[in-house]
Amino acid sequence: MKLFQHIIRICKWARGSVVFALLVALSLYMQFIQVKHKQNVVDLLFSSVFYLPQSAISSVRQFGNLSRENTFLKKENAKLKLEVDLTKEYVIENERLKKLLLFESHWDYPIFLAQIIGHNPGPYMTTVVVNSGASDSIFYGMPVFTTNGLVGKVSKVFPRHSMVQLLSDPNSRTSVISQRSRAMGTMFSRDNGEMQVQVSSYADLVTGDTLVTSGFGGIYPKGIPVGVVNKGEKDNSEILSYRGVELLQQVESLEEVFIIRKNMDWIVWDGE
Amino acid sequence: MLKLIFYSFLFFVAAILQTLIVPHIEIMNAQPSFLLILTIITALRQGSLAGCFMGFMSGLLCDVYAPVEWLGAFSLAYCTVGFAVGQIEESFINLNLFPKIIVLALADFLKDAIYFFSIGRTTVDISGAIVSISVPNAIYTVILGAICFYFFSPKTERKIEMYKPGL
Repeated sequence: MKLFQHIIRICKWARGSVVFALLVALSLYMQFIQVKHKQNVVDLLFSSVFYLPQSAISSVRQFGNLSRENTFLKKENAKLKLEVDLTKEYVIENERLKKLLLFESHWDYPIFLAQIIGHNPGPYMTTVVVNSGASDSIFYGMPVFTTNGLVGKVSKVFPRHSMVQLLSDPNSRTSVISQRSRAMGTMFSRDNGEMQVQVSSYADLVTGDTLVTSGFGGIYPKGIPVGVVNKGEKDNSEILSYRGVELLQQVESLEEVFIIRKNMDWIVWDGE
Repeated sequence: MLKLIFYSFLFFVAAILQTLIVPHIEIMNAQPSFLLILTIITALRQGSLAGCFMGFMSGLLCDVYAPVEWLGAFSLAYCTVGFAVGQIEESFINLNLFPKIIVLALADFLKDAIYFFSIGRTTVDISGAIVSISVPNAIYTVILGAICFYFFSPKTERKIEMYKPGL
């Protein structure tokens, strides 16, 4: 029985040795054939024995490449989107600056561009903060406007920023004039934020009339568009009447304003 | 038949690991050889015949990705290693984890020695290549091989125990 087992083991070993010898011979044969034949052998192996592993490897690599490409394209897409957005911004800015150029030609004063960096807290906007101050030669009382219309005036100046009192501030009074009938009045804001113009009862002021600055206050130059009369209301005194005004420049959507570098023509003092 | 499918699957997995994963887990130019680990595991579990055949296939896979001038060098190296380790398996049936690791390390050096000897007739400085390439690769392969042996070990032991009475 032991002899039989030994014979089986020898046969098994011999079988292994024969196969080993054949494989070694095959390896040596592959080493010594010509290079062009070696290339044929490699091609043959890829298309037969290693077809499945190679196709799996290729698929995984392709998947990896797709994943990388996807990531790259996403980044590229985000970058391009940003560039498109920036371009849109530049187009809008360009339009604004073109309008400003046209606007500036009407005035003898230099105009300064400032960014809005904050506003007062609370339900009604009465003050905004701009990023220009005394270091930019901004002084108290300078008119602030946009290409749509008047915004307000500089009310406080700090070295690097300033506060702008808006027309919607209840403490603000602006002398205005009707572009059509030249009827004069004083525009102010009620406590609820509604803008009104106070004119004499017999003044020719109808809904749709555009109001511009009169230039009488000493702060704003004459002719800056301010608002449009949108409704009328007779005062009980029958001397004065109040008309609703819709401002041409809504301050909620403001990002930047222009400041006219103009000192006040005169100051009206209350009291002594 | 089931064994053939099982080892073919292992070869398939090792081929993917070797080709796709190894370049990403390279440490200071040292790369492990999953194909060598598979060859050693096959040889230790199934004997020299299976070992040398698995080694030949693994070597052939390395050959097709190596420069075409050296075709056959890896086949010879892996096949020889598979056969030699299979002989060890047949002589010393019950190998523990530590001797297996020693066998793997020696097998790695033997494989590289045969490979460099095969291609040495061209341009490569064999001793320098063994020191600069083989040693780091062998260390990395041995570490990963030890983990693989650890996971394959209980099954191997049970298998040996099952076959012992039949011998």
